[in-house]
Amino acid sequence: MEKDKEDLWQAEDITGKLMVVHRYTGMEMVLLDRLGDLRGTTPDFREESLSLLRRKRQALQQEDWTPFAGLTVIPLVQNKQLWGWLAADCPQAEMAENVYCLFLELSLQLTFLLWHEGEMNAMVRRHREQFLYDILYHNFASSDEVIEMGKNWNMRLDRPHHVVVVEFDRPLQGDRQEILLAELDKEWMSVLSARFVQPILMLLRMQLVILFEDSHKPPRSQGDLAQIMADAMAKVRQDFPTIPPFSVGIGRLHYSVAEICRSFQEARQALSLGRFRQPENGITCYEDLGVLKLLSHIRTEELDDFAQEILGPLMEYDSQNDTELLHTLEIYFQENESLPQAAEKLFIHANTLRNRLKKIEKVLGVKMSRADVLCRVSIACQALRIVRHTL
Amino acid sequence: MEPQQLGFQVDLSRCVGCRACERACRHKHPDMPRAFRHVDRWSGDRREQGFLTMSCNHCASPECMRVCPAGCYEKRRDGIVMHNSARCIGCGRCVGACPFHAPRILPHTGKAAKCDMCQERLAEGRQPQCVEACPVEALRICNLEEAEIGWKDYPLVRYTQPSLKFIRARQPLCFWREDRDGER
Repeated sequence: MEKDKEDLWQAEDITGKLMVVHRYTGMEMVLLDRLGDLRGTTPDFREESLSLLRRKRQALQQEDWTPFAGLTVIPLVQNKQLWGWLAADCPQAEMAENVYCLFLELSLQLTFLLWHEGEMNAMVRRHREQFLYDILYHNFASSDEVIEMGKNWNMRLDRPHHVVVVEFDRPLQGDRQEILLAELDKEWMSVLSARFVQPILMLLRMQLVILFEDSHKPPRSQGDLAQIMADAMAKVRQDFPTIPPFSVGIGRLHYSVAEICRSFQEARQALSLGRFRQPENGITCYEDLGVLKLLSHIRTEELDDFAQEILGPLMEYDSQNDTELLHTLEIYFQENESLPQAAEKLFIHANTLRNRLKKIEKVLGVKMSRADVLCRVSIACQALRIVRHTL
Repeated sequence: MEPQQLGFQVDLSRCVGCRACERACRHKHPDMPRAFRHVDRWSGDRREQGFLTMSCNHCASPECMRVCPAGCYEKRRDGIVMHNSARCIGCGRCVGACPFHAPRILPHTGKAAKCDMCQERLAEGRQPQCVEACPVEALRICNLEEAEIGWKDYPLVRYTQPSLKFIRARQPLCFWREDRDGER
């Protein structure tokens, strides 16, 4: 009895400990962590029992042992926190007392191992997040030092990195946001790992920040990156259909680690201002913000005055005649002045759209063929959108 | 140190506009033509007049950091945005970009400078000079990590997320003494 316990103590890892108990008792055992992932097993543990344990995770969490009739399952709990489950392919009633004692001893030692691993992971994550915070906010004295430190985390910070920021479009209640962000983190990691070498993901102030190096020559353009992000977004939505709407902002590619902070701020600005164009599920590149960057520096009241000055007659006409000329104009600019695309989006014929545009010209008293008029009206439409979303 | 976000909390009901914070800041930076902190008068919606004390708001997304071509700005783990004048080339981009006009160009050096929340005093466990000088405790330092502040002004302000928390002005309570004949 003492010998087997001593051997159990001597074994250092999960598999080693399981094998010691297997050798003394002949039982087949399996260890699952709290997410239901397999952490260790003896060689002949039945596949059906393992799939049953994985399938009935909810029953395990509720400590309902009825589905596991032929098994003995022990929840591994430390400080009221669940770390996993240890299962043996033998009912407790059929175990000899000394076998059950050894099984209990094994559960205690495995609980300690899982708890210790969890604590270590949490500490590593904390240090990693602090290191990334320093990079994202330029909180370091020497770039060389940071590049050297990055090597400890397998980050090649001497290479150019893209910065992408992901955020939910609607505020979510309490813990739900954190839980969903963690899920989003996992999903993005799995999607991006397939395309990029070691993408770096970090949760920061209710945003998911993604850094990945660009080893392409010439480097990818922001348009290419937006396409990759759109594909990744579609994949994430496919894998996780219930996820609330989220938007993506992409910063410019900067070549030194000292400029990652700038790319990060650009990505955040793209995300924030991009919502004036597409309020939900948008992907915005900093380079594409255009005049929005300038408009963001102007007070909302001034923007409102400007929009009213240019588009006021159109709004008045719409309200008096119950028409949608302003909406038509906005869609026309949104669709890059393409008549077929704008008509499709408005569910009208292209000729109807042509007539509406003529009517708009008449109401506003301008000629849209003139570049300065077109520019003015387009900016007024953007200003109006900012005003609507801000007030 | 865990990342956090220190910021200023201003109780608009308490502020009486004595400008002690402004003077304390000027006393700390005597070589500045104007103090980093300044008190402005404003007309609130509930009080006839109020005062607003402002300096650098150490934004969560600092515009100064984004526009600086020399990488002079850094944000410490406690959220304070610092300016490194040794690297500054005096281009003035941060001055124009900041929605609160917090960075200023110093005439005698030609370089930018801004409020650092008296970080050397914070390191000693003391309050910033302006906070310590406020006789009515209207100005305080707080941790804004948990606070949700809905900024509505121009989009840039909403984007930069200034670390500034206001306690809205309450209607002042007035007590009137009645004379013996029942008149006020």
